[in-house]
Amino acid sequence: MDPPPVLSSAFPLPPMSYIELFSNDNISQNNKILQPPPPIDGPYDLFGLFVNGIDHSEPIIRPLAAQQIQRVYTRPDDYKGELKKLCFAILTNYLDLLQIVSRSTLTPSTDSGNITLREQKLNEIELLFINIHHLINELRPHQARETLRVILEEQKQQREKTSEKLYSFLNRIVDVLNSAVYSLNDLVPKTSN
Amino acid sequence: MSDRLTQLQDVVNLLADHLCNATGVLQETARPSRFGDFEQNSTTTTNSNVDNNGDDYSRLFASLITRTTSELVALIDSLPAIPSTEDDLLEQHAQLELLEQENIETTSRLEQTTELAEYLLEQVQTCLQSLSQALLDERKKFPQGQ
Repeated sequence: MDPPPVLSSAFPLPPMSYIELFSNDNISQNNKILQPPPPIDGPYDLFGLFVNGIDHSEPIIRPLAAQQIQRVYTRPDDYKGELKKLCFAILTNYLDLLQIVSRSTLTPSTDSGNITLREQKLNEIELLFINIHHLINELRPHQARETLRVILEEQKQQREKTSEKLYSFLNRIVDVLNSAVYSLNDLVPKTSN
Repeated sequence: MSDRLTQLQDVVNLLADHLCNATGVLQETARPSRFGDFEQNSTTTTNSNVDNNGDDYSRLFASLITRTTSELVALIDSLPAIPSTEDDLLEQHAQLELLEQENIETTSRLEQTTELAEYLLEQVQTCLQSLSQALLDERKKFPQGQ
């Protein structure tokens, strides 16, 4: 017998010791199929860095800006208004910065004599940017929930449509069969007892 | 085409880039300022801020920054209504749970219909089999084709 032709491909072979566990016989016997490992719960090692696991008690999706950074926007209810206010605040602060820089760079600030006016203004602008990004991030969980809702709706519609179509097909099939049986009954001559 | 929040974040970063670039370029290309009463050699220099090449960087950057800001404001306005109160959140939650329930129901209905279809298929197949068997038997009884 000729030896089976050697398949050559551009890619390296998959790990054979793993693949052999999933042979057709094994699957048909349901013989100790490897399940994927469950997601890790505690802290784990990521590229040499220790990463803390997800803490389910805190609302981790939106860490508070008040941890280390001052919160500038006043009301978290009116997202659009606050975002616009922050945007215009950035522009006005930038104009102030330009004025400071064009006049004199080294004047110490009035609030704290350690840093210059320019640095203080830079810090304020940085704070505004961080706040605007944080506000945008706070909208992310809502976006995730809406996406989930849309996906569920689509799935439901698709399943409904499929079952409707299938049901109508089945009805037609039954009708065709019934009519065939009746016409057959007409053809068969009645046997006299 | 990324989603709206990512676009928003990108435009904010773009605005920051414009601001930084504006200060840097204007500082580099600015004409040296005059001292107060001090007489200078080059008193014939023009008063405008235009660069040697005729590029007016300040006007360019001003238009860039204002355009980016108006983009940002337009994007913010285009955001849909966002639930911020507790009631809205609860309503959203309830909607999600309802949808999940309905999904489970439709799945079970689909499964039932599939089972029915499979049963019907089996029946039709047995019928076909018995019919073909009967035909073969008949042909065997009358091999002359009567």
